[in-house]
Amino acid sequence: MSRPRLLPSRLADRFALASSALAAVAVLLVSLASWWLIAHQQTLADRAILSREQRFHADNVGSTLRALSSRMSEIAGSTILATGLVDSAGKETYLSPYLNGIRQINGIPVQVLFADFEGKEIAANATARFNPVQMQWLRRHLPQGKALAEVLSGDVGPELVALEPLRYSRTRTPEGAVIYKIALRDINLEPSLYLTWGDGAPGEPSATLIPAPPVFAPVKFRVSGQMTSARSGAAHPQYLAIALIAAAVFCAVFLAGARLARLLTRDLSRLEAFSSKVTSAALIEQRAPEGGTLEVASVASSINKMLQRLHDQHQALLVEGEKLGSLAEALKTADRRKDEFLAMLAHELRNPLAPIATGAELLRRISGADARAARTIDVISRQASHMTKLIDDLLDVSRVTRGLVALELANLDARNVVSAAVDQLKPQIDARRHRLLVDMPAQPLPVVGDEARLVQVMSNLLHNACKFTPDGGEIRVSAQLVGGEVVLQVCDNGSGIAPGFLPDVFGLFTQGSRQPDRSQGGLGLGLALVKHLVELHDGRVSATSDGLGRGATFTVTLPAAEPVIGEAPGAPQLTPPSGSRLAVMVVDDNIDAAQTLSTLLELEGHDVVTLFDPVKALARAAVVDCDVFILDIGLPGMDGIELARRIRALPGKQRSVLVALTGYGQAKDRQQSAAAGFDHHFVKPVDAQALAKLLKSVRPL
Amino acid sequence: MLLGIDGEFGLTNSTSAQAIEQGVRIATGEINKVGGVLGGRKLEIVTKDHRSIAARGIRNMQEFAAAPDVVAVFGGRFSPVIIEQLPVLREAKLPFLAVWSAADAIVDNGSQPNYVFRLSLRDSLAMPFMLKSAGDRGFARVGLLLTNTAWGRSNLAAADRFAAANKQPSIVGTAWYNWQEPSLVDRYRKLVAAGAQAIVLVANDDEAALLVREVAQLAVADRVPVISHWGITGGRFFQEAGPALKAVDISVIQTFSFFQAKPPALQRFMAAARMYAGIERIEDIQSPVGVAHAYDMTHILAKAIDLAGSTDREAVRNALERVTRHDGLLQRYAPPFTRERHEALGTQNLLMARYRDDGVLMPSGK
Repeated sequence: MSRPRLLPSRLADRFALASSALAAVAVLLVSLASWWLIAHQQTLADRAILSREQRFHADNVGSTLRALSSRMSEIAGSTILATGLVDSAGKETYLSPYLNGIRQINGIPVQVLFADFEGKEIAANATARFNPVQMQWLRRHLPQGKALAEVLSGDVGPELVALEPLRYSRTRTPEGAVIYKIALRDINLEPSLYLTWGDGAPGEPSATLIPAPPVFAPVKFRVSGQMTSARSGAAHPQYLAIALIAAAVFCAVFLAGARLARLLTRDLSRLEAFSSKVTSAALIEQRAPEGGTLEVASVASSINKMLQRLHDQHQALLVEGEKLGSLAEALKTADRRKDEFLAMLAHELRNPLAPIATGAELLRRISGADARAARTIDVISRQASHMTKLIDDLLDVSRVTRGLVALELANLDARNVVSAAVDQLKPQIDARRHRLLVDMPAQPLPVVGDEARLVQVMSNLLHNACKFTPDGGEIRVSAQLVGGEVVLQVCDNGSGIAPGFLPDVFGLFTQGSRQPDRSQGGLGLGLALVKHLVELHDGRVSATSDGLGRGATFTVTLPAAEPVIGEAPGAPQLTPPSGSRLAVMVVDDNIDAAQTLSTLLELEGHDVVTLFDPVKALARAAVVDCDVFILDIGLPGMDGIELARRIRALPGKQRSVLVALTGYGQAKDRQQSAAAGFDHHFVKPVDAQALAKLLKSVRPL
Repeated sequence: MLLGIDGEFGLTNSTSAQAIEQGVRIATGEINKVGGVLGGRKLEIVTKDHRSIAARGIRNMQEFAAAPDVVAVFGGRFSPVIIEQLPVLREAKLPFLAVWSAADAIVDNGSQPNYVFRLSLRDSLAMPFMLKSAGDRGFARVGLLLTNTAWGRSNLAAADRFAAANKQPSIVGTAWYNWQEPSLVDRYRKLVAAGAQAIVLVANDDEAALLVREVAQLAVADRVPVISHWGITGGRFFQEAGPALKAVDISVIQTFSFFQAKPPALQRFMAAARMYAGIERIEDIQSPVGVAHAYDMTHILAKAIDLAGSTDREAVRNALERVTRHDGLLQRYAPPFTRERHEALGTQNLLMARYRDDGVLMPSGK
């Protein structure tokens, strides 16, 4: 599961991160709460201070108003004013001086006017300036005979105007009044406070009602105030302190959280370290530490149990592995032995064939004109040849599967390969009356390959076509250059291949459906060999068929080579047969093979010395002159290679022709035999005609 | 034809305005009964109340002046109110008849022609008379306790003139009081402490009643007689002073006493009084001087109107100076007024009186 690496990989770091995140959140919350609390307390304190200031000033103003009211009541009740009502003639002498003496109440300038019952001025103090509205107000309210106050607008802003009626105990009507006023701006308040009155507006901040005397009570004077920002300014340093404390707390909690996380996950870390060690190294013998916590102990216990099981299974696996190893080794050995056995078997089967074939040939030469004997000899010869072919294939397969085949690569013309194969199979094709059609271009088809092996491939395919096509069928062989590749095709109209069998057609030991009579015969080696050999040439082979009875087509594709300029080196020009009588020594420990070959050579007119032991042969070679030495390679005591080298080392034997005989022709054998001084190499059973042809080209010494 | 009365009708405990109205009503009753004036025109009375407040008096007077049917206006007890009214009177050329108020300045108002006529006491007569009364009673030293009004100042001026001319009694001090004073006794005692053997009081009924009640509280030795101007008789002084009156020696100056009236005039008056005011006995007459003065003055006015032959105010004013003779309740006025003299009464009319136990004011001789 891949996940973006937002989180640290270590559990302890995650715990630390989580604890620091929690700490951060907690610190943030606590800071915010503190912040809010302080702000709240600050607001409350400000409100309380404001309220206290409001109360203080309200009391002050109230006291001033009381003083004003009391003083004005006193004035209104004074006998001087009462006298003025009945004796305004005296106003210049005592009334005005009396009123003029009233200038201030508690330091607040006051204007006083003494009016008659109609509100007309009788006398006033020097500062009295009542505007018409105020006088009108006086006249409107005077008849009620009650002390009254109202805030009216004046020249200097709002003014508190009040009237104090003059009552005469002997009349029922107010006989005059003292009207007085103060300018509200003269009432000193803190700058942040202000005076309000009347019915408060809904949004008015908290105000303190001024404890006013009855006359002013209806005015509802209040001291209002706004909490100014200056009040809360003092809180900022505290916020800084909170921030610092919060940061310090955060650091402390973070460090503690990290430390705690490591402490808490220590046993887990140990377990983790152990488990990584266990997986990295084969330390299943060890056991996980118990751990400090229940969970870790449980996990450790589980791990230990698993380790134990792992250990047990590991032990069992080791045992099984040892068993398997020895089994594989045994199988390999068995396989190798099988291969060796097959090779040996082929070799050993082949050896008797040589004298049989040679014997048959001998019989043909010596038996005269007896027709029956001649047919029998043909049968023997043909069957020996067939068997040789079977054994050769078997040997080839054995060598190919063991990787023992080495190609002798040369620049070839594929047309020659096809021609050689056709020539090889021609008798067989003719025997079954097949119609052979060969289609080849005029130009060469250059390939790099082992001619013998490629001929073997094509002849195998032709052999198959011939074999699986009823007599009188048609076989088409073509070779052409297609897009840088040389395509060789063998096509027949024979029994075809069942579709289900097609994929396995190139398998070893696979054969098409067998006829009850095994008329086709064979071991199922041919196509497997074809496939292996073509692949050794970096080519490929394929088979197609339209089904059973509808023929089959096999196609071999090889990489085309650069065309060779000039004539390819042809086969060495054989010297014309001399027909000379040659001195020949045949050395072979297979007495039958040696004697039949010697007999055959003697029939050809040569002088033959036959020996079965290499030591004796060497000794003999030293004393006789032989033109040709035919040596079996697989000799007891001293092999043919060694024998050839020694013979070549003998005086006068440098020009002798040395011919090697081996059980089966191999490039290695050929190289070894060439290096040992052999001039020619023949594979058993010796092709009598080929040998005769060779000997004919040898000139006697 | 209207006769105005501008008086202190609404003043609690005051009886002076009502007394004046009684006098005018009784007289007009008589006059109207015999055909009125100017050959049959009835006299009617219009009253206005100033409650002793000058401003109200001024307004009243303006209203009277503006009413064409008002021939003349009778004034009330309070000199300060009338003094305040003088400019209006001068302006309106409305004959004004002072039948109680005593301040000199009311008549001596400096206007010519003078529309003010007085049939009443005059301070410059009353003060010397009271001082002389004190002296006669053997009080060598008196103190003046005065109301702080034009009336009080009028009396002080009269006292000063007396003192300048007479050695006995000497004035040891003057104390002023204002209206609505809650207490007067301190001033009284101060004057006594200054050596006053008697106190000459210029006051109205309420202040006098207050003083009497306060003085009655003093030790007998601390009490000195009070010789009072007649303002105290304009209201329910006797009732307000109550039992304290027995503890205080208080005599009051008067111009007239029904008990000393000449029988024919008294009989005629009482007949009319019975008819028009429901008064059966002279003891029932409260504020007797007011009733008597107004009664006589109304008759004199009626004669003047007839003499003038119209209700024209100036003509009436002039006629008032030309009424040659009237036999009134107080005396024979022959003539009541002259061009130079707008005072109908003189020193010969003065007397001192005391309250009888039943509240009836009786002449006391001294």
